[in-house]
Order: sequence, then C-alpha cells, then structure tokens
Amino acid sequence: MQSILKRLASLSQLIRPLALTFVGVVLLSLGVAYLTLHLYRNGAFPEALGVVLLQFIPVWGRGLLFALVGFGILGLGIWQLSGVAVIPLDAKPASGDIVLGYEQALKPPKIAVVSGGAGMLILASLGRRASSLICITPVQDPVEYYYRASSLLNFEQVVFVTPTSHPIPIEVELDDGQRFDIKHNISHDDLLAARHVAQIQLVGADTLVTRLTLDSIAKADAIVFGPGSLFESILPSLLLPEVRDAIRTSNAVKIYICSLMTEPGLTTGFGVADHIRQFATFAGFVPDYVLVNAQRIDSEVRQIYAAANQVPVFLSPEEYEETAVSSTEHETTRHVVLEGAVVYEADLASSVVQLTASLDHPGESRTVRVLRHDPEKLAAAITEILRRR
Amino acid sequence: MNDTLILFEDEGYRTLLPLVYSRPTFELRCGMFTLRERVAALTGEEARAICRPYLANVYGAGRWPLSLLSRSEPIMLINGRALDLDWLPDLLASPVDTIIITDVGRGPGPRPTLLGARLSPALASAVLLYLINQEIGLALTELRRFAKIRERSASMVVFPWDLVTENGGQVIRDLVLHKLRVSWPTAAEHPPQSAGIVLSNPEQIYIHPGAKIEGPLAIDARDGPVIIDAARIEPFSLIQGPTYIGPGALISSARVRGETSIGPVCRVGGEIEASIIQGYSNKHHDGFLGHSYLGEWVNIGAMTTNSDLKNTYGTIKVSVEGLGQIDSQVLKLGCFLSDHVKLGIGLHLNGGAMIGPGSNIFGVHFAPKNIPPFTWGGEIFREYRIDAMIDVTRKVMGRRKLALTSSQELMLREVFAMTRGDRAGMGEGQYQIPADDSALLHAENYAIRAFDPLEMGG
Repeated sequence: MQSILKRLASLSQLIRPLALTFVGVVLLSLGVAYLTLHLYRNGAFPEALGVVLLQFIPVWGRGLLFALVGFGILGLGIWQLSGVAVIPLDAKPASGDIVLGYEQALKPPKIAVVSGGAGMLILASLGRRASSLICITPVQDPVEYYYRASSLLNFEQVVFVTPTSHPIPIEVELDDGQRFDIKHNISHDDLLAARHVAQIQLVGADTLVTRLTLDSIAKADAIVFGPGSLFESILPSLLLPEVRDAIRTSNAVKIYICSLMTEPGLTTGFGVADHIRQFATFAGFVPDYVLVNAQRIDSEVRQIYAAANQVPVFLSPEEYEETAVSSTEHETTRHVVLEGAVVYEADLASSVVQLTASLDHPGESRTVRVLRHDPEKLAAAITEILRRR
Repeated sequence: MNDTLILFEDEGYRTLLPLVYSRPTFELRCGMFTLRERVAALTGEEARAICRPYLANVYGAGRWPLSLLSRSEPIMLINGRALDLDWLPDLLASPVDTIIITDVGRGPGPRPTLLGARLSPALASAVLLYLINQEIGLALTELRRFAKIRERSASMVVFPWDLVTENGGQVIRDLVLHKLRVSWPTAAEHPPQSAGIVLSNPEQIYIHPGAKIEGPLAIDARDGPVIIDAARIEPFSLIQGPTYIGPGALISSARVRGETSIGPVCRVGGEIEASIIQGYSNKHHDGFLGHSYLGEWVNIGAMTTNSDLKNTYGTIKVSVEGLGQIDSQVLKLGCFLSDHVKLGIGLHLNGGAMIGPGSNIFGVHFAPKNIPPFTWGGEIFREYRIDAMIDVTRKVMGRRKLALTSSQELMLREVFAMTRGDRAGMGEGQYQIPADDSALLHAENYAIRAFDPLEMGG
C-alpha cells in the first residue's frame, strides 16, 4: 500500500493540470451528449446502429456502464501516468532535486571513488544514492582515519578500502628537483609554495592490490576521482599498475572532480588542462568527464586563499581544445573537450565557516571562511552525467 | 590498547535456521555462555559484532558498522559459530595479519572455513564488505593472499543439534573460563544452609553467594560440575551435572538432569534433560523436555512433552533449511523451539521437531514436526498476525520488567516479512472455522486460552 501511495504521490505536480483536463473532458462529454441526444430525438437511426449504441439496454443501464468503463479507464490512465517521470520544461536540467528524483526511480548506480582526505568524506555522502559506494583510500593513508571520521557522519552503503594491505610511501619530485615524501606537508611550506610536482612514484617493491579495490572498479557504473588533492589523494592509487589497468578496462564512466584551488608546492600554476594532463602522464588515461567549478568566488574568500598562495582553478577560454556535440533521444548538448575529457562546468562549491586551531596553540581557535565542494551539488552533477549516458 | 574484538557470521548461519532467524549465531547458548559471553569471559573485553543487516541494530554494531574499523589497533575477527575458544589466546599473541582456518568436516559451506583472524585495519578494510554480506568464502580467498595461515582443529556449531550434543562438554570447558573471572565458593567450602540438602561431590558444585537453595533437594555433581548462578532452587528439586543454571532462574521442584544449561530468568519445572534454554523462557510445569533447545521468550504449557528417542532406536532426522531432511546421526534428540514460540497444554512433540520463531501452537495432540515461523493454530494453521504477535510479546516481556524496543520490534517484523513464503498456503485473516461443531468448540476454547500465552497451562 505504501509503495502504491508513494507512486501516486509522484503525481503531485500534475494535480492542477490533470484537474483542468478532467473538467475539460467532462464539459466536452456533456456537449457530445447533448448533440447525441438531439440527434436521437430528431433523427432516424438504422436498426444496426442502435445495437452498436447499446439501445437494447435501458438508459440508466447505459449510463452506469459508460460511467464504470470510464472510471476504469481513468484509473488506468492515472496509474500509467504516475509511472512516467515528468520534468517541467522550465526546470534547469542540473537543478538537483527533479533530476535526482528521476534518477532515484532508476536502479541506483555502483560507484567507486578514488580520493582521500576531507574530499573523500564529502563524496561519501553519495552512499545513500548508490547501491554501493566503495571509497579507495590513498596508498599511504591509514584507512582507520576514514572509518573514524565516517562513523561520526552516519554514512550508509559506504566502505573504505585500502588498495594495498599495508601503507606504501609516496615520493614526489618538484620542478626544481627537490624530493619529498608526500607526507612532508609540502603545501604548508612557504619556501616551496611556488613549486609544483614534476614526478611522483611509489617507494618500495611491487605489491598486491586488494580484490575489493579491483572488483569495485570493474563493477562500477562510475569511477569518481576526487574531490581531493591530485598528488596526495588521487594519483597515488593510480600508480599501482593493477589499479590503472582495472580502470582502463572498466566500462564505468570516469569522472574527475577538479580541485577548487591550486595547492602550493603541488599544483601551483596549474589550470584545468594541467590537472587533466597529470592523469595522462602518471595514470595513462584521461577521465571521460571533468567537473569544474563555475561558481563565482567572492573577493573575501579569494583574498584568504591568495594569502595562502592559492588561486582558483577555473576553466580558461584559452584552454578550450574543441567542442563536442552529444545528443540523446531528447536533447543535443555542446561540451568543451580538454585533453580528451569532456568538461562539465557547474556550481559545485559552497563557502563554509571553519573553526581552526593549531597544534602549537590548541586553545587558540579562529574561524575562517573556506571554499569546499558541496556534497549535494556534486551529487547532482554526477547523477546528471550518469543520467545523460 | 587492546585489539578490537569483532564477532562475525558466516554462510553457515543458514543451516542453523530457523533458530537464528531472530538472533545471530554468536548469540546461541551452548554450555554456560553464548559466544559473545564466552569471549568476554576469556578476554575481559566486550566483543562487537557484524551480523545480518536486519539483526544488526539489535545485536551488532548497526546496519552499516563503519565504527568497527575506527581504531588503529589490530582487528580480531571471531567466527560466530565457534564453540570452544582454546585457539583464541594463541591468535591474540600472533603477529598482525594472521588467520586461523579449520575444517569441521561437515556442513554445506566453504571448507575449510575462517575461524578467526588478527588483522591490520588496512587488511580488515579489504574484507569488511564480505563480512557485512556473510560472504566469508570471498573474505577467506582474499585473506589467503595477504595473511599468514594457520590450520587447526576446532569445534563449531554446524547444525542445530550440535548445540545439544556439545552442551555437556561445553559446560565443563566454560567452567574453566568462568573461574578466571569469578570466584564462587564450592559447596564443599561453603555448604548451603537450608536443611535436607544432599550433595554429591560438593567440590564440583559452585553456588553464587546470592543463590537461594531451599531443601530438601539433591545436587549431584558426580558426572560433572553443577554451577548455580544467583538463581532460586525450590524444594524437591534434583540437579545433576554437568549443568549450568543462570541468574534469576527459578527451578520449581524440577528434575534437571545432566548436560543442561538454563539461561537467565527462566522458570523450569517437570523434568528436563540434556537441554538448553536460552533465557527468559518458561517450562514451569510437569512434562518432559529432553535433548532440546529453547530460544528466548518461549512458553511451554503444562504436560507438554517431547520425544527424544525413537522406539526403533534409530537416529533422528531433522529438517534443515535448504537441505531438507538430514540424518543427525544422533540417537537421542528432542525439539528445537525458536525465540517467542508459545506452546499450549498437553502437546506432544516428535524428536527433531523444529518450530520457527513467533509461532503459537495449541489445541492439537501431536504438533507437526516442522512448523514455519509465525504460525498460529493447531488443527488448522494460519499465519499469526504480526501485530497480535508483537502485542503478546510486549505483554510477555513486560512481566519480566523489560520493554520490547523499537529495534527489536522492527527486527521481528522483518523476520515475519522474510519468512512469509514459508507460510504460503496457510489461511490469512480470520481463524478458519472447521465444519464440525465439536471441532469449532474445541478450537475456540483453545484460541481464547492461547491468545494470552501467560494464561496457557496455568
């Protein structure tokens, strides 16, 4: 009963147009009835036509019969109508709820996420919209950190898995030749702020990759890279040959969520195309889609980031490589293609007030406005991409 | 910091149905303890658990147990069907990423199976999803790639009758663990003060200081220990070891024969032999219960008796979910009553009888050997309406000053929904009235009495 009511509730947007249609149909029927009655009384009908018009049944019986059949057909029509997703023509395609509501009526997708840090936790909220969400943590990170954070956030259908059975160190080489462990906290070293990573590699011998990691990639409908640090959270896992091969051979749509800001010492000076190129260089593939934030960032937030040697990563017109046209049954859309990846620009971020404290002075906390990927907006964008495929 | 102890269910839960429809495998009592209690007795730590999702809010760490892997200490996995835990101290002392496998040589599941593991959080994350889905075969395949493997023999519960056959030995083994944590005086050291108490081998009789023993009665520990928690033993009782009587239990002039475990807050009368009562159940009146298992919140009316031996002295067959009739190879075997089963007065149960949870059976001389969960009736069976069953459960638990929690209610409703297919063909809605007048009177009388099971059988 609950499922029937739920299905019929989807018609709530149609109550007004349906009611108007119903009134119109009733009036039209009355008109036809009056005309028919007039012909009945004033015209002469062949006998065969009388049988077709059920004249052998008393008038009240005919009325009852037509009313019952009409009622049944009306019910059938409403039932069939409730199974059709209706999106108002004036709704924006990526505006979230309507598209998500439509998508939720379909089989929830299986999603694999390659990310790390806070970005992983942002995307983990997708779990309630997926049949499974396997988050592949960076090879150098302890997985329990993610479980500790997620247990506070009541995630569902989410599992965090390490690609290897033990952490593997990651070493980066900056453009000036300096080498660091990725855990060196490069982003917070002012002396390195102007640098960017030129090379990244695993330290140590080859290692086996966990089956859940490979299975989640092989069975995924979508593999999402990010949000998160390109060199700290995303690329480390892709340095494992088995992971790379699994991604390359997977039929899943590969979506990269591009960073909102450059990272000092890691991606300084990088545009969207530079970010994508790192996939080609170190992972041997480029994502199918790249999600880029198109939201205007207010000057106050921009200044805060500038003080930390960070600038927004926007899509620059100079980077446009070509425009692709894709068409589905219902629509034709144009996309920018960059380094072989379709760029999808959307409002993906929200500025939030964050309480921060330093380890040196834990009692002294301060609030700062920071820009973060918005889980709802990301979910809407990813769902929209999946819907269009 | 200590390891995170996690009990898990494997594919083998299926052969323990219907007993484990409403509880995980590690919550089945055998010996003095359930496995969860046994782990606590051995390690001094409360174990957490991963079980089937619909049970997880009542018995596990929630439907999506992410918090289990939130610590950096090693993860200790313990198979929920394990009985004796003599292997656990070795595993606790083993290097991280060590697993123990065992082949019990029976049952339909993967063999050998995973008995226990001590894993890093990283490796545990690689098998967490398999554990959540009870796909232990896949987990084991994965762990074999990364972990050091040890193989050893161990006792595990495979079929429901294993609980009964292992119970006596397990009482003896559990006493060793029990003495690690608790120091109760033996009856030799501190004899009960009531008059007329006959003690045989009092060195093997352990009595909680809060227990009330009222003579005349006899306690015979010549064949094994008798352990009496803070229970009450009424006059004219006979208790033979090995036997465990849990806290809050009432032994009402009963003959409790060896190899019996009586869980907490049970009321026991008549004769009981080599049986397990999980807890909070009543078999308060005369009637024989032998080589049987009773779940929680079971009520057995007066003079209801089970058979545990065929006249042909043949082995007893039991219906196992998904496998059909299985020869237990056991000569003496009684009945298996799942949680919340209520039996009226004067019923006779066959050896190997299996009654699913929530069933309410009355008004019949011989109950059928297999009764699906949530069955109502006797001469005519129909589906027990879940709202009525929940209503009765609230009353029953209320009498023991316990409330049915919303999680427990939801769990019972899920069991009801998932077992609906087992009741296909039964009438629904109102009680189906037989054509015969006397049968009508007969059924109505029983229905009126049986609706309040606490009134059944006095």
